This record gives sequence, structure tokens and C-alpha cells, in this order.
Amino acid sequence: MTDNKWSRIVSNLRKELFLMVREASSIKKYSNGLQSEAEYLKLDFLKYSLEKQRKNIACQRGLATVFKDKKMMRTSLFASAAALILGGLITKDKYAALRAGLSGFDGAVQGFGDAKWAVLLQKDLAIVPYDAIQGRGTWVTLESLIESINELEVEISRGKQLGNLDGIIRRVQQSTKLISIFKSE
Amino acid sequence: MKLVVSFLLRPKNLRAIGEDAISQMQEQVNGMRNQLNDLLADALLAGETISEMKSTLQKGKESGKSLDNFIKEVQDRLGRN
Repeated sequence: MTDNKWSRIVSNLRKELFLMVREASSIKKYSNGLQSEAEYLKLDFLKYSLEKQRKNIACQRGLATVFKDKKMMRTSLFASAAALILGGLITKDKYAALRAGLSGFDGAVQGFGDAKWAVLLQKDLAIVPYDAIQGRGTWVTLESLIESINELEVEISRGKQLGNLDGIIRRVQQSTKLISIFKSE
Repeated sequence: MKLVVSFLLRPKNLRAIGEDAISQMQEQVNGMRNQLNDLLADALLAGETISEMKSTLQKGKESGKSLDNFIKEVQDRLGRN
């Protein structure tokens, strides 16, 4: 084999290796990014689920209040009708107007059920209005819990894995932003 | 021609030619050894990077499973109330 041919083969092999290293590094970077995204998604999902649960309970409480109080019933129906008419005027689309009307009613009902919210950080997570707190346990305010959850984003940006729900609860409990509620018996 | 061959075949000249050839071969071998060393270093780096990539991909898979489990866990533990 001539010296030139040998050099060409070695040079080609080195080029191939360089390309492999570049591809592998880019896949590694991409995969690391996906892992961080998965951790951020955990926090987003937890916040979304808490908010969804809060809205459901607010809606149930609101409906209960509306049915008890006729004046409130009139107000919520008025809100719904106003949104329906406005929606119709703006969009000229009856379905959009109906959706707007229903969301107006939903918002009004939720508004009646609104309260300050507390979350129980135990095996079963519970979200309830302050006035419905029952029994012992680690109750914290919803706002402070959300703030503490948001703080965990810094840890993710440093490359930490949050683990399961208990792991997140443990980390959140160490946050200085978390405000506990002490209910007097 | 005979004169040239008889000149080259003199023991003194033969040794000089041999030494020159050996020196050239030595130079070539050294060059090839250096090239091989570089190639080996590149191959080691590639191996290391690929192994890191595989381990990151494995972690990525576990991360996906962990997210799935987390979603189920939240739905289960928050939905019971």
C-alpha cells in the first residue's frame, strides 16, 4: 500500500469518526433537553390538575349557592344572557355566542363559589376552601404552594430530576415560600 | 552498467544503501504510527461520546416513563377526593 493511499484511508476514517462524535453529541443534547422538558411538564401538570380541581369545587359550591339564593341565580343567568348576546353581536356565530354564554354562566357560578383555598399535602392530595378544612394534616395555602412549585423550575434548569409526586412534595415542603395553615380545633 | 553494479555492490556502498532504506522505512513507520495514534484517540473519543449518548437516551426513556407515572399518580391522588 502506498503512503498516500494509507494517509487517505486514515484521513477518511477520522472524518467518519468526527461525524459520529458530532451526531452523538447532538442526540445527547437533544435527549437532555427532552428530559428537562419532561420535568417541567410534571410541574405544569401538577399546577393544571390543582387548578382544575379548584375550579370544579368552586363550580359545585357556586351552584349550591346559586340554587339556595334566587338573587344570585338571576345574576348568573343575566351574566350568561349578556355574554350570549354580546357573543352573537361580535361574532355573528350562534355557536360561538352559545359558548360565550355558557362560559359566562360558568364564570359567574365559579365566582360565587370562590374562596381562599388550602391544599392538604398528604398521601391523598386534597384541595378545599379554607372554611371546609377538616381534620389534621399539613394544610398549606394554594397560592404559596403554586409559588413553591414554580421555584422548583430553578432546580430543573440546574439539571436536577424531581422524581415522583412524593419527591416533589418533599422539595416543596422545604421551600420558604410555603405558608402552612394551622387550624384551631 | 557492469561498472555501476560493481560500484554499488561494494560492501561500503551496500551498507550505505541499506542504512538509507532502513532510515526511510523507519520514517514511514513513525508516520504511520502517529497517524494510527491519532485515529485511535479519535475512535476512543467517539466510543466515549456514543456511550454517553446511549446512557442519556436510556435516561430519556426512564424520564418519559417517570412522566407517565407522575401523571397517573397525580390523577389518582388528587382525583380520590
